[in-house]
Amino acid sequence: MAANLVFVAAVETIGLFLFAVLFDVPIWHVLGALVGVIALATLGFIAVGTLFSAMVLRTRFAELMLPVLLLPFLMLPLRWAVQATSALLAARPLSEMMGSLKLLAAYDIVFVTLATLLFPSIVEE
Amino acid sequence: MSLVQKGRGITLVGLALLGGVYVRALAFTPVERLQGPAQKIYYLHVPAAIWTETAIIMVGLAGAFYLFLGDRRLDLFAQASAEVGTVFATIVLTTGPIWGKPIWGTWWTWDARLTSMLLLFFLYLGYLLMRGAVRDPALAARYGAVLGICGACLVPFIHFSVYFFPTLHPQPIVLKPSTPSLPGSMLTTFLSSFAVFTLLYVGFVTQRYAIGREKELGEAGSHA
Amino acid sequence: MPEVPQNAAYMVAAYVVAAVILLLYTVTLWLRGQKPPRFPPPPPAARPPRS
Repeated sequence: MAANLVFVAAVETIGLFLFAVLFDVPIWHVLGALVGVIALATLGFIAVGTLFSAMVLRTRFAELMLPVLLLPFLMLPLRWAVQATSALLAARPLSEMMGSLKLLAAYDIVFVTLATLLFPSIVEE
Repeated sequence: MSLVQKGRGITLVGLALLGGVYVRALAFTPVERLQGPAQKIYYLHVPAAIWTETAIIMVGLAGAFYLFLGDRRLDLFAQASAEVGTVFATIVLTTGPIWGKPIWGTWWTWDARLTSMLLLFFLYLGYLLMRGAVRDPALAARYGAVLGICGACLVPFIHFSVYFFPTLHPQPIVLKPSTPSLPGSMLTTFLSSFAVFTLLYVGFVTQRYAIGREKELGEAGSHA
Repeated sequence: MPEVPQNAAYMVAAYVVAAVILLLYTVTLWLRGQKPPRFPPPPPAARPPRS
């Protein structure tokens, strides 16, 4: 899971930079908070994604099954991250983002814990 | 009386009582002044939604106990609850838009609660698909347990998302921290409907569980 | 006083749809719960010929 995290973080760093440049979006003034939101969301993705990836290895139609299983779990943190990011970029007060941020944090705590606890059940023989 | 027959019996009683609820809701419950007759869809939509969410929690709980105890019957129950939950989710996702169209002017909107119910439906579908796609039954049971537990943990986020975001969907008026704010006659109809849906859940799950058990015993017999 | 909206058709539609879904599922479960007819057990295997 840590390896996935590093890999995705690298991709996101490049992506964020390209996004700022290509779409001419000023992100530097909120960079710290933006990275924070991205990190929170990424952690949730990685936790669930790694768990399910291990599961679909021994499933028929693995490539199709993974997105089908992941969709419900990714849509919610994605929605919260988008809400927080757009509020951040529009320089809205922190109180507007608190709901999304709390949910992202709670989601991370729950699913990182679950992924860690459940991983052995998936890979044991 | 075999378990399948008991399940059928419960289901038939439930369906008969559902007819009673239909009569009560359609003919003997007052029409809501602002929304008109369409508001009565509430009496089907909300109990179905409550049981859709409860059923996935049952799947998760059964899965968790299965991982601890290894009792196959827990896994059979989880499969049954997942299938029945999918049926109830279908009811929610069909009655919802039919209610939404006259009240909001649109069949669908991507707000928090509707999207979340749709996601729950996809979760159920994913569970059923995955069970079908794993050859080894023991492995399928384990994977099902994992997916069920994750799904059950997703439900609180889904349920409480409605408090955090402004939404077109009405705020909860029954399942909320303070007392329910439905007037008396409507509350009775709602509670009756909820009781009937509970009975239907039990009847359907019993049948589905019994069917699964028969199948498993049959397969074990042919391999013995 | 504003008039009560005339949307009973939607109410009926929703009630019908819900009933159909529940009845269809009931029938599906019923059919799946039917035990397949049991075939008579195969006759005992013939004794192997004495060599």
